[in-house]
Amino acid sequence: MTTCDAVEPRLDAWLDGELSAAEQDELAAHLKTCPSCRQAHGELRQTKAALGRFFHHLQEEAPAVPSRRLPGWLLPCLAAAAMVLLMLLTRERQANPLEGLISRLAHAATQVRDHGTLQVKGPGGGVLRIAFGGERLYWEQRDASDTPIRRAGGFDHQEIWTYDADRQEVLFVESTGLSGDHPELRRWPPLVWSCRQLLDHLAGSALALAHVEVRHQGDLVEATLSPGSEVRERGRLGSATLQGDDLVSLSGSNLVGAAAWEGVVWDATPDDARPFGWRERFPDARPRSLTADDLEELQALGYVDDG
Amino acid sequence: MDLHREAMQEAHRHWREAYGLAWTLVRDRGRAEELCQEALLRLGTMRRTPDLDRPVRTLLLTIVRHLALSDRRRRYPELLQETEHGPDPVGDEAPGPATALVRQEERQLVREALGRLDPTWAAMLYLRDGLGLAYADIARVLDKSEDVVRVTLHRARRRVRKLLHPSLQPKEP
Repeated sequence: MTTCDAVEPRLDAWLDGELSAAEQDELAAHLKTCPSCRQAHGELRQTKAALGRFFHHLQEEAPAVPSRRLPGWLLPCLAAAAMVLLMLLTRERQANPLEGLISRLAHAATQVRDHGTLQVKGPGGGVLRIAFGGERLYWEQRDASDTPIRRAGGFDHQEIWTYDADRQEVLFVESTGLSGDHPELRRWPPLVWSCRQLLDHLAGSALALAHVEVRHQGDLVEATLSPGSEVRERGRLGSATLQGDDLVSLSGSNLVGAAAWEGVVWDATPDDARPFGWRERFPDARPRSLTADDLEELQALGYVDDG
Repeated sequence: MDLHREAMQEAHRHWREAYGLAWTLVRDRGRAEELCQEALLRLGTMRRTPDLDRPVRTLLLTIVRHLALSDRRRRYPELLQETEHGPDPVGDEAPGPATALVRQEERQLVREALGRLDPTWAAMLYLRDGLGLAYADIARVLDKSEDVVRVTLHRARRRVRKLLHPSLQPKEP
Protein backbone atom coordinates (compact mmCIF):
# COMPACT_ATOMS: atom_id res chain seq x y z
CA MET A 1 0.00 0.00 0.00
CA THR A 2 1.34 3.42 -0.97
CA THR A 3 1.85 5.68 2.02
CA CYS A 4 1.51 9.41 2.19
CA ASP A 5 5.21 9.74 2.94
CA ALA A 6 5.95 8.00 -0.33
CA VAL A 7 3.45 10.06 -2.29
CA GLU A 8 3.91 13.60 -1.06
CA PRO A 9 7.53 14.01 -2.26
CA ARG A 10 6.54 12.77 -5.71
CA LEU A 11 3.62 15.09 -6.25
CA ASP A 12 5.93 17.67 -7.75
CA ALA A 13 7.36 15.27 -10.27
CA TRP A 14 3.84 14.08 -11.09
CA LEU A 15 2.63 17.58 -11.86
CA ASP A 16 5.83 18.23 -13.78
CA GLY A 17 5.21 15.23 -16.00
CA GLU A 18 8.34 13.45 -14.87
CA LEU A 19 6.78 10.23 -13.61
CA SER A 20 6.27 7.05 -15.50
CA ALA A 21 2.77 5.91 -16.36
CA ALA A 22 2.89 3.29 -13.61
CA GLU A 23 3.93 5.85 -11.02
CA GLN A 24 1.19 8.19 -12.13
CA ASP A 25 -1.40 5.48 -11.73
CA GLU A 26 -0.04 4.69 -8.30
CA LEU A 27 -0.31 8.28 -7.11
CA ALA A 28 -3.72 8.79 -8.67
CA ALA A 29 -5.04 5.75 -6.89
CA HIS A 30 -3.69 6.99 -3.57
CA LEU A 31 -5.21 10.44 -3.97
CA LYS A 32 -8.63 8.95 -4.47
CA THR A 33 -8.54 7.66 -0.92
CA CYS A 34 -6.41 10.27 0.87
CA PRO A 35 -7.86 13.74 1.57
CA SER A 36 -4.60 14.95 3.02
CA CYS A 37 -2.62 14.17 -0.11
CA ARG A 38 -5.41 15.55 -2.24
CA GLN A 39 -5.11 18.81 -0.36
CA ALA A 40 -1.36 18.83 -0.76
CA HIS A 41 -1.84 18.15 -4.47
CA GLY A 42 -4.25 21.06 -4.78
CA GLU A 43 -1.97 23.42 -2.90
CA LEU A 44 0.94 22.40 -5.05
CA ARG A 45 -1.03 23.07 -8.22
CA GLN A 46 -1.94 26.51 -6.93
CA THR A 47 1.64 27.24 -6.01
CA LYS A 48 2.84 26.17 -9.44
CA ALA A 49 0.15 28.26 -11.07
CA ALA A 50 1.11 31.33 -9.03
CA LEU A 51 4.76 30.83 -9.89
CA GLY A 52 3.89 30.35 -13.53
CA ARG A 53 1.91 33.58 -13.62
CA PHE A 54 4.71 35.45 -11.94
CA PHE A 55 7.37 34.12 -14.29
CA HIS A 56 5.21 34.87 -17.28
CA HIS A 57 4.83 38.43 -16.08
CA LEU A 58 8.59 38.60 -15.46
CA GLN A 59 9.28 37.71 -19.06
CA GLU A 60 6.71 40.19 -20.23
CA GLU A 61 8.52 42.85 -18.26
CA ALA A 62 11.85 41.96 -19.79
CA PRO A 63 13.37 44.74 -21.84
CA ALA A 64 13.48 44.01 -25.52
CA VAL A 65 16.73 43.34 -27.31
CA PRO A 66 18.35 45.80 -27.36
CA SER A 67 17.33 47.64 -24.24
CA ARG A 68 14.34 49.87 -24.78
CA ARG A 69 14.49 51.67 -21.52
CA LEU A 70 15.53 54.77 -23.38
CA PRO A 71 13.98 55.90 -26.63
CA GLY A 72 14.60 53.46 -29.47
CA TRP A 73 17.53 53.29 -31.73
CA LEU A 74 18.63 56.89 -31.71
CA LEU A 75 20.02 56.92 -28.24
CA PRO A 76 22.52 54.09 -28.64
CA CYS A 77 23.91 55.74 -31.75
CA LEU A 78 24.23 59.10 -30.15
CA ALA A 79 25.61 57.59 -27.01
CA ALA A 80 28.50 56.08 -28.92
CA ALA A 81 28.92 59.29 -30.86
CA ALA A 82 28.84 61.16 -27.60
CA MET A 83 32.01 59.54 -26.43
CA VAL A 84 33.81 60.58 -29.57
CA LEU A 85 32.34 64.02 -29.51
CA LEU A 86 33.15 64.53 -25.89
CA MET A 87 36.73 63.68 -26.61
CA LEU A 88 36.81 66.11 -29.48
CA LEU A 89 35.42 68.72 -27.21
CA THR A 90 37.99 67.94 -24.61
CA ARG A 91 40.74 68.29 -27.13
CA GLU A 92 39.46 71.30 -28.96
CA ARG A 93 38.00 73.16 -26.05
CA GLN A 94 35.14 74.45 -28.09
CA ALA A 95 31.41 74.10 -27.73
CA ASN A 96 29.40 71.90 -30.03
CA PRO A 97 25.69 72.38 -30.43
CA LEU A 98 25.13 68.67 -30.01
CA GLU A 99 26.97 68.49 -26.73
CA GLY A 100 23.90 68.91 -24.59
CA LEU A 101 21.91 66.20 -26.29
CA ILE A 102 24.71 63.75 -26.70
CA SER A 103 26.07 64.13 -23.22
CA ARG A 104 22.61 63.49 -21.87
CA LEU A 105 22.49 60.25 -23.79
CA ALA A 106 26.04 59.21 -23.04
CA HIS A 107 25.01 56.50 -20.60
CA ALA A 108 22.50 54.84 -22.84
CA ALA A 109 22.67 51.20 -23.58
CA THR A 110 24.66 50.60 -26.67
CA GLN A 111 23.93 47.07 -27.66
CA VAL A 112 22.65 48.14 -30.98
CA ARG A 113 21.46 45.27 -33.04
CA ASP A 114 19.05 46.95 -35.35
CA HIS A 115 20.02 48.87 -38.43
CA GLY A 116 19.05 52.38 -39.15
CA THR A 117 20.01 55.71 -40.53
CA LEU A 118 19.43 59.23 -39.48
CA GLN A 119 20.04 62.46 -41.24
CA VAL A 120 19.31 65.89 -39.96
CA LYS A 121 20.09 69.26 -41.40
CA GLY A 122 22.26 71.30 -39.16
CA PRO A 123 22.38 74.98 -38.52
CA GLY A 124 23.84 76.86 -41.45
CA GLY A 125 22.92 74.11 -43.88
CA GLY A 126 25.20 71.45 -42.52
CA VAL A 127 24.19 67.85 -42.19
CA LEU A 128 24.47 65.37 -39.40
CA ARG A 129 24.40 61.77 -40.45
CA ILE A 130 24.34 58.68 -38.34
CA ALA A 131 24.25 55.14 -39.52
CA PHE A 132 24.34 52.08 -37.39
CA GLY A 133 24.00 48.39 -37.63
CA GLY A 134 24.76 45.52 -35.34
CA GLU A 135 27.15 47.01 -32.86
CA ARG A 136 28.67 49.46 -35.27
CA LEU A 137 28.14 53.14 -35.52
CA TYR A 138 29.09 55.75 -38.05
CA TRP A 139 28.63 59.39 -37.45
CA GLU A 140 29.61 62.33 -39.51
CA GLN A 141 29.01 65.99 -39.66
CA ARG A 142 29.26 67.94 -42.90
CA ASP A 143 29.12 71.62 -43.56
CA ALA A 144 26.90 73.41 -46.04
CA SER A 145 29.21 72.50 -48.92
CA ASP A 146 28.94 68.84 -48.00
CA THR A 147 32.51 68.84 -46.81
CA PRO A 148 33.01 66.48 -43.92
CA ILE A 149 33.88 68.21 -40.73
CA ARG A 150 34.10 65.24 -38.48
CA ARG A 151 33.69 61.57 -38.99
CA ALA A 152 33.67 58.87 -36.45
CA GLY A 153 32.99 55.25 -36.08
CA GLY A 154 33.10 52.56 -33.54
CA PHE A 155 32.47 48.94 -33.02
CA ASP A 156 31.79 46.78 -30.08
CA HIS A 157 31.68 49.86 -27.93
CA GLN A 158 35.30 49.43 -27.08
CA GLU A 159 37.22 51.14 -29.79
CA ILE A 160 36.22 54.32 -31.43
CA TRP A 161 38.12 56.35 -33.89
CA THR A 162 37.56 59.58 -35.67
CA TYR A 163 39.14 61.32 -38.60
CA ASP A 164 39.55 65.03 -38.50
CA ALA A 165 39.58 66.35 -42.06
CA ASP A 166 41.08 69.67 -41.06
CA ARG A 167 44.00 68.18 -39.26
CA GLN A 168 44.12 65.06 -41.34
CA GLU A 169 44.64 63.12 -38.24
CA VAL A 170 43.21 59.88 -37.01
CA LEU A 171 42.17 60.28 -33.47
CA PHE A 172 41.94 56.99 -31.79
CA VAL A 173 39.76 56.88 -28.78
CA GLU A 174 39.72 53.81 -26.66
CA SER A 175 37.06 53.31 -24.14
CA THR A 176 36.22 50.50 -21.81
CA GLY A 177 32.60 51.36 -22.10
CA LEU A 178 30.14 54.16 -22.24
CA SER A 179 29.98 54.73 -18.56
CA GLY A 180 31.05 58.30 -18.55
CA ASP A 181 34.72 57.57 -18.02
CA HIS A 182 36.99 59.74 -20.01
CA PRO A 183 38.75 57.54 -22.50
CA GLU A 184 42.30 58.05 -23.47
CA LEU A 185 42.79 60.15 -26.51
CA ARG A 186 45.60 59.48 -28.87
CA ARG A 187 46.79 61.28 -31.92
CA TRP A 188 49.31 60.30 -34.47
CA PRO A 189 50.03 62.83 -37.14
CA PRO A 190 50.87 62.65 -39.99
CA LEU A 191 48.18 60.49 -41.48
CA VAL A 192 50.34 57.90 -43.12
CA TRP A 193 51.81 57.11 -39.79
CA SER A 194 48.51 57.59 -38.11
CA CYS A 195 47.21 54.43 -39.58
CA ARG A 196 50.31 52.45 -38.82
CA GLN A 197 50.41 53.67 -35.29
CA LEU A 198 46.77 52.86 -35.02
CA LEU A 199 47.52 49.36 -36.12
CA ASP A 200 50.38 49.14 -33.69
CA HIS A 201 48.11 50.29 -30.97
CA LEU A 202 45.51 47.74 -31.87
CA ALA A 203 48.20 45.13 -31.93
CA GLY A 204 49.01 45.96 -28.36
CA SER A 205 45.48 46.28 -27.19
CA ALA A 206 43.43 43.91 -25.17
CA LEU A 207 42.19 42.44 -28.40
CA ALA A 208 45.40 40.46 -28.52
CA LEU A 209 46.07 41.13 -32.15
CA ALA A 210 49.08 39.16 -33.10
CA HIS A 211 49.77 40.08 -36.65
CA VAL A 212 49.66 43.10 -38.83
CA GLU A 213 50.32 42.50 -42.48
CA VAL A 214 51.26 45.44 -44.58
CA ARG A 215 51.30 45.30 -48.37
CA HIS A 216 52.57 47.97 -50.65
CA GLN A 217 51.37 48.56 -54.17
CA GLY A 218 52.96 51.70 -55.35
CA ASP A 219 51.79 54.28 -52.93
CA LEU A 220 48.94 52.11 -51.90
CA VAL A 221 49.47 50.58 -48.51
CA GLU A 222 47.14 48.00 -47.22
CA ALA A 223 47.41 46.75 -43.72
CA THR A 224 45.49 43.81 -42.48
CA LEU A 225 45.01 43.07 -38.85
CA SER A 226 44.82 39.47 -37.96
CA PRO A 227 43.41 38.24 -34.72
CA GLY A 228 45.60 36.93 -32.01
CA SER A 229 45.27 33.72 -30.12
CA GLU A 230 42.29 34.81 -28.10
CA VAL A 231 40.29 35.96 -31.01
CA ARG A 232 41.75 33.77 -33.68
CA GLU A 233 38.52 32.32 -34.79
CA ARG A 234 36.72 35.58 -34.98
CA GLY A 235 38.11 36.18 -38.39
CA ARG A 236 39.83 39.16 -39.73
CA LEU A 237 39.55 41.99 -37.33
CA GLY A 238 40.20 44.85 -39.63
CA SER A 239 42.16 46.42 -42.39
CA ALA A 240 43.23 49.83 -43.38
CA THR A 241 44.22 51.14 -46.76
CA LEU A 242 46.16 54.26 -47.43
CA GLN A 243 46.99 55.92 -50.69
CA GLY A 244 49.66 58.47 -50.37
CA ASP A 245 48.74 60.45 -47.34
CA ASP A 246 45.10 59.65 -47.55
CA LEU A 247 43.35 57.08 -45.53
CA VAL A 248 41.32 55.29 -48.16
CA SER A 249 39.43 52.87 -46.09
CA LEU A 250 39.26 51.40 -42.67
CA SER A 251 37.15 48.44 -41.97
CA GLY A 252 36.72 45.78 -39.43
CA SER A 253 34.45 43.17 -38.03
CA ASN A 254 32.70 43.23 -34.76
CA LEU A 255 33.91 41.00 -32.03
CA VAL A 256 30.67 39.15 -31.75
CA GLY A 257 31.45 37.48 -35.00
CA ALA A 258 27.88 36.75 -35.79
CA ALA A 259 28.09 38.88 -38.85
CA ALA A 260 31.39 40.08 -40.14
CA TRP A 261 31.20 43.68 -41.03
CA GLU A 262 32.82 45.04 -44.10
CA GLY A 263 32.36 48.71 -44.44
CA VAL A 264 34.14 51.85 -45.25
CA VAL A 265 34.18 54.37 -42.52
CA TRP A 266 34.88 57.14 -44.91
CA ASP A 267 36.04 57.67 -48.42
CA ALA A 268 38.79 60.16 -48.61
CA THR A 269 40.36 59.57 -52.00
CA PRO A 270 41.50 62.82 -53.52
CA ASP A 271 39.75 62.20 -56.83
CA ASP A 272 36.63 60.70 -55.56
CA ALA A 273 34.92 62.70 -52.88
CA ARG A 274 32.08 60.31 -52.58
CA PRO A 275 29.70 61.02 -49.78
CA PHE A 276 29.58 58.62 -46.97
CA GLY A 277 27.70 55.77 -48.57
CA TRP A 278 25.94 54.56 -45.57
CA ARG A 279 22.97 53.09 -47.33
CA GLU A 280 25.33 51.11 -49.47
CA ARG A 281 27.12 49.89 -46.41
CA PHE A 282 23.97 48.85 -44.65
CA PRO A 283 21.60 47.32 -47.18
CA ASP A 284 19.30 46.40 -44.36
CA ALA A 285 19.11 49.94 -43.14
CA ARG A 286 15.69 51.45 -43.14
CA PRO A 287 14.87 55.04 -42.44
CA ARG A 288 13.43 55.68 -39.09
CA SER A 289 11.81 58.62 -37.51
CA LEU A 290 13.09 60.48 -34.56
CA THR A 291 11.07 60.36 -31.43
CA ALA A 292 9.12 63.49 -30.67
CA ASP A 293 11.34 64.34 -27.73
CA ASP A 294 14.54 63.84 -29.65
CA LEU A 295 13.34 65.87 -32.59
CA GLU A 296 12.25 68.66 -30.36
CA GLU A 297 15.60 68.82 -28.71
CA LEU A 298 17.48 68.63 -32.00
CA GLN A 299 15.30 71.36 -33.36
CA ALA A 300 16.10 73.48 -30.38
CA LEU A 301 19.72 73.05 -31.31
CA GLY A 302 19.08 74.13 -34.84
CA TYR A 303 18.77 70.76 -36.53
CA VAL A 304 15.83 69.91 -38.75
CA ASP A 305 14.70 66.43 -39.55
CA ASP A 306 15.70 65.69 -43.11
CA GLY A 307 14.04 62.28 -43.28
CA MET B 1 23.08 31.90 -43.85
CA ASP B 2 25.82 30.38 -41.75
CA LEU B 3 25.19 28.15 -38.79
CA HIS B 4 26.52 30.58 -36.25
CA ARG B 5 24.24 33.34 -37.42
CA GLU B 6 21.26 31.04 -37.09
CA ALA B 7 22.32 30.13 -33.59
CA MET B 8 22.58 33.77 -32.59
CA GLN B 9 19.17 34.53 -34.03
CA GLU B 10 17.82 31.59 -32.07
CA ALA B 11 19.46 32.95 -28.96
CA HIS B 12 17.87 36.34 -29.47
CA ARG B 13 14.47 34.70 -29.58
CA HIS B 14 15.06 33.36 -26.08
CA TRP B 15 16.14 36.70 -24.71
CA ARG B 16 13.14 37.11 -22.43
CA GLU B 17 13.53 33.63 -21.02
CA ALA B 18 17.18 34.30 -20.32
CA TYR B 19 16.29 37.58 -18.68
CA GLY B 20 13.86 35.81 -16.39
CA LEU B 21 16.52 33.39 -15.29
CA ALA B 22 19.05 36.14 -14.74
CA TRP B 23 16.60 38.13 -12.68
CA THR B 24 15.71 35.10 -10.64
CA LEU B 25 19.36 34.64 -9.79
CA VAL B 26 20.46 38.23 -9.20
CA ARG B 27 17.14 39.89 -8.26
CA ASP B 28 17.99 43.11 -10.03
CA ARG B 29 16.52 44.17 -13.35
CA GLY B 30 19.41 46.24 -14.54
CA ARG B 31 21.96 43.66 -13.63
CA ALA B 32 19.86 40.91 -15.15
CA GLU B 33 19.73 42.75 -18.42
CA GLU B 34 23.47 43.32 -18.38
CA LEU B 35 24.12 39.67 -17.71
CA CYS B 36 21.87 38.62 -20.54
CA GLN B 37 23.62 40.93 -22.93
CA GLU B 38 26.92 39.52 -21.80
CA ALA B 39 25.57 36.02 -22.25
CA LEU B 40 24.61 36.78 -25.82
CA LEU B 41 28.05 38.18 -26.40
CA ARG B 42 29.67 35.12 -24.89
CA LEU B 43 27.53 32.88 -27.02
CA GLY B 44 28.53 34.79 -30.08
CA THR B 45 32.22 34.59 -29.32
CA MET B 46 32.40 30.91 -28.57
CA ARG B 47 35.30 29.35 -30.36
CA ARG B 48 33.20 26.84 -32.17
CA THR B 49 29.85 27.32 -33.66
CA PRO B 50 27.35 26.31 -31.01
CA ASP B 51 26.64 22.67 -31.30
CA LEU B 52 23.03 22.61 -32.33
CA ASP B 53 22.66 19.12 -30.93
CA ARG B 54 22.64 21.06 -27.73
CA PRO B 55 19.74 23.46 -28.04
CA VAL B 56 20.77 27.07 -28.18
CA ARG B 57 18.12 27.84 -25.61
CA THR B 58 19.72 25.51 -23.09
CA LEU B 59 23.16 26.79 -23.94
CA LEU B 60 22.10 30.38 -23.46
CA LEU B 61 20.42 29.63 -20.15
CA THR B 62 23.52 27.81 -18.99
CA ILE B 63 25.70 30.78 -19.81
CA VAL B 64 23.30 33.09 -17.99
CA ARG B 65 23.38 30.83 -14.98
CA HIS B 66 27.15 30.80 -14.94
CA LEU B 67 27.43 34.54 -15.30
CA ALA B 68 24.77 35.26 -12.71
CA LEU B 69 26.27 33.02 -10.09
CA SER B 70 29.74 34.39 -10.79
CA ASP B 71 28.30 37.82 -10.42
CA ARG B 72 26.84 36.94 -7.08
CA ARG B 73 30.09 35.47 -5.88
CA ARG B 74 31.92 38.57 -6.91
CA ARG B 75 29.48 40.89 -5.24
CA TYR B 76 29.03 38.73 -2.18
CA PRO B 77 32.33 36.96 -1.64
CA GLU B 78 31.11 35.34 1.54
CA LEU B 79 28.87 33.20 -0.58
CA LEU B 80 31.78 31.27 -1.98
CA GLN B 81 29.94 27.99 -2.08
CA GLU B 82 26.53 27.25 -3.34
CA THR B 83 24.43 25.59 -0.73
CA GLU B 84 21.53 23.30 -1.20
CA HIS B 85 19.69 25.10 1.52
CA GLY B 86 18.44 28.57 1.29
CA PRO B 87 17.49 30.67 4.29
CA ASP B 88 14.68 28.99 6.09
CA PRO B 89 11.73 31.28 5.68
CA VAL B 90 9.80 29.53 8.40
CA GLY B 91 10.28 31.40 11.61
CA ASP B 92 11.06 34.65 9.82
CA GLU B 93 8.61 37.47 9.71
CA ALA B 94 4.98 36.63 9.30
CA PRO B 95 3.60 35.56 5.95
CA GLY B 96 2.03 38.09 3.59
CA PRO B 97 -1.08 39.72 4.84
CA ALA B 98 -3.34 39.70 1.81
CA THR B 99 -6.44 37.57 1.92
CA ALA B 100 -7.94 38.78 -1.33
CA LEU B 101 -5.75 37.46 -4.09
CA VAL B 102 -5.49 39.96 -6.92
CA ARG B 103 -2.86 39.44 -9.53
CA GLN B 104 -0.67 42.28 -8.45
CA GLU B 105 -0.67 41.27 -4.87
CA GLU B 106 0.03 37.71 -5.85
CA ARG B 107 3.01 38.78 -7.89
CA GLN B 108 4.37 40.77 -5.01
CA LEU B 109 3.98 37.84 -2.70
CA VAL B 110 5.63 35.48 -5.10
CA ARG B 111 8.43 37.95 -5.66
CA GLU B 112 9.02 38.19 -1.95
CA ALA B 113 8.85 34.45 -1.58
CA LEU B 114 11.41 33.94 -4.31
CA GLY B 115 13.56 36.58 -2.74
CA ARG B 116 13.87 34.48 0.36
CA LEU B 117 15.03 31.43 -1.49
CA ASP B 118 18.51 30.53 -2.46
CA PRO B 119 18.93 31.86 -5.99
CA THR B 120 19.58 28.41 -7.38
CA TRP B 121 16.33 27.18 -5.88
CA ALA B 122 14.52 30.13 -7.39
CA ALA B 123 16.21 29.48 -10.70
CA MET B 124 14.98 25.90 -10.67
CA LEU B 125 11.44 27.09 -10.09
CA TYR B 126 11.79 29.52 -12.96
CA LEU B 127 13.15 26.94 -15.35
CA ARG B 128 10.39 24.51 -14.51
CA ASP B 129 7.34 26.63 -13.82
CA GLY B 130 8.34 29.55 -15.99
CA LEU B 131 9.88 27.84 -18.97
CA GLY B 132 8.60 24.29 -18.65
CA LEU B 133 11.99 22.71 -18.94
CA ALA B 134 12.30 19.03 -18.21
CA TYR B 135 14.29 17.98 -15.18
CA ALA B 136 17.12 16.79 -17.41
CA ASP B 137 17.41 20.18 -19.06
CA ILE B 138 17.21 22.00 -15.75
CA ALA B 139 20.01 19.80 -14.48
CA ARG B 140 22.07 20.66 -17.52
CA VAL B 141 21.54 24.40 -17.23
CA LEU B 142 22.25 24.54 -13.52
CA ASP B 143 24.94 21.89 -13.52
CA LYS B 144 23.13 19.72 -11.03
CA SER B 145 21.98 16.14 -11.06
CA GLU B 146 18.41 15.29 -11.89
CA ASP B 147 17.91 13.91 -8.41
CA VAL B 148 19.00 17.25 -6.95
CA VAL B 149 16.59 19.03 -9.26
CA ARG B 150 13.76 16.77 -8.24
CA VAL B 151 14.38 17.17 -4.51
CA THR B 152 15.08 20.88 -4.70
CA LEU B 153 11.92 21.65 -6.64
CA HIS B 154 9.93 19.80 -4.04
CA ARG B 155 11.55 21.71 -1.19
CA ALA B 156 11.45 25.06 -2.96
CA ARG B 157 7.76 24.80 -3.72
CA ARG B 158 7.02 23.82 -0.16
CA ARG B 159 8.80 26.91 1.08
CA VAL B 160 7.07 29.15 -1.41
CA ARG B 161 3.77 27.61 -0.42
CA LYS B 162 4.43 28.42 3.24
CA LEU B 163 5.31 31.99 2.37
CA LEU B 164 2.24 32.45 0.22
CA HIS B 165 -0.12 31.04 2.85
CA PRO B 166 -2.78 32.12 3.59
CA SER B 167 -3.04 33.87 0.25
CA LEU B 168 -3.58 30.64 -1.56
CA GLN B 169 -6.72 28.92 -0.47
CA PRO B 170 -6.41 25.16 -0.74
CA LYS B 171 -9.01 23.63 -2.91
CA GLU B 172 -10.07 20.12 -3.48
CA PRO B 173 -8.89 19.02 -6.93
